[in-house]
Parts: sequence; C-alpha cells; structure tokens
Amino acid sequence: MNRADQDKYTEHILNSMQGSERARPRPDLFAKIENVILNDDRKIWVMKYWKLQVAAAILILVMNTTVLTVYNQNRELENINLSSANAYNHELISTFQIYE
Amino acid sequence: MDKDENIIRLIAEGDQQAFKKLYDQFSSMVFNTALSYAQDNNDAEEITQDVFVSIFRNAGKFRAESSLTTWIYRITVNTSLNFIKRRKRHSFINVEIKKLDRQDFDHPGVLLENKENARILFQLIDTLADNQKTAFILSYVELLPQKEVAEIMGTSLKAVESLLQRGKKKLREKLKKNDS
Repeated sequence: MNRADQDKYTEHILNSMQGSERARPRPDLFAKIENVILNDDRKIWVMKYWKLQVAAAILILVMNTTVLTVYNQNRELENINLSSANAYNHELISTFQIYE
Repeated sequence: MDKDENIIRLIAEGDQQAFKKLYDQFSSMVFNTALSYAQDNNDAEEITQDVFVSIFRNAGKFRAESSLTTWIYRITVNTSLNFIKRRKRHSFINVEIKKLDRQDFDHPGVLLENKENARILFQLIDTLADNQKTAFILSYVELLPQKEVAEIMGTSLKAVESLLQRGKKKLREKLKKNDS
C-alpha cells in the first residue's frame, strides 16, 4: 500500500462512524437508576439522622427502665401492704377466741 | 433563566419528572460515549447509571458557565475513564478475557458498509492513552467539532489537534504493521 492509499484508508477508518446511529441503553435502565437513587437516599437518611436514632433508642431505654422501676416499687409496696394486712388478719383471728 | 438551567434547578429540587426528561434527552449520548470507552454493553450501562446518579446528586453544583451538554459530556468522560481504571485494577483476569471480546467489538449503530473499518477504529481507541482516547471518541465517534472537544476536555484547540495527530500517526503505524 503506497502513502496515498494508506492516507485514504486511514481517513476511511476515522470516518467510519459517519452516518451511524447512536447506541441506546436497555429501556429498563431508568427504573434501575431511580432505584439506586432511592436506596442511596435511604442510606443518606440513615447516616444523616444517626444522632436522632441514638437519642430515640436512649429515650426508649430510659422510659422502659422508669416503667420497670415504678412497677417494681409498686409491687414491693403492695407486698408490704399485703404482709401487714396478713399479719393484722392473723392477729385478729388468733386473738379472737370466740369458741374457747 | 434558560431551559438548561431550569431543568437542572428542578432536578436539584428533587423533581423526578424533570430528571426523566433529562434522561430521555441525554441517555443515548451518555450511553454511546460510555460504550466507546468500555466497548462492552453491560459496562456501558453501569457507566450510564453512574453518570445519571451523579447528575442527580450534583445538579445543584451546575453553573451555567458551560452548556448542559458540555457538563454532561465531562461527567461521562470522567466516569468512563475512572470505570476503565477500576476495571483494570480490580479484575486483571476478567479484563484479559474481556479484552479478547473487545477485539471484535462492533458498535450496534454502525452502517453495514463501515463495520470493518469501525472495528479497526475501536481497536485503535482501546490502545490510546486517556487524553488521546477522549479526543478520538469525541471527534470520531460523537462527531463533535474540535472546538467543543476542547471545551469538554478543558484544553486548547491546538492541544486537541495535537492529540488527534498523534492518534492518527499511531493508526498509520498500525496499518503499516498489518500491511507488512
């Protein structure tokens, strides 16, 4: 191949995409992109509001602890009342010697 | 405010419809450019996905100093080059297999009579350095005027001419080798 032919061939190669159509992606690609953005948003939300989530967890823990403590205190109080009532009842019965 | 700025402003505000409109307008441009770099349909789709996610995330950063087309081309070029680098780094063996496939890469939109020549063009593109590759793809696949290529690449017209000249020289040498 002489120089002129080679130049011509080179130009043919370089211009081989003239008149061609652009390639297109698959039709479902947009839905995929939307999904990625949505999932990223969720991740960003999780990252962004981690302090809020920790605060909420602490609040729930404190509330549960308070409820349990109050419940236990009430139970103890109930037990004391019950045992004193039992004692009183016992005394009452034991001293009440109606048939003797 | 012009049309480009308006659509980008809407996207920055999270408007899905505006984003879809932009996708419909630019997806083939992005995919076609990505395909020229990756020379693989799946990889080109992955690049296209990354480009549009990036557009959605960075819409607020768009300054109308350049046109929207130029901005999207820049994102596409950078994403494609990064993708290729990542691909080379992460899966050496796969790249070798894919490289064999790419030897026969046929662009889906090429005219039948140009198929063989286009195959040689893409083989050449695959061997070029990043800057030359970009200049070649934008000039000979996307068929953009050199002035626009220079704007996208953020370089001078002379630099683009020089990159294309060096690429052409490489092509001539390749043809010479094949001839002898």
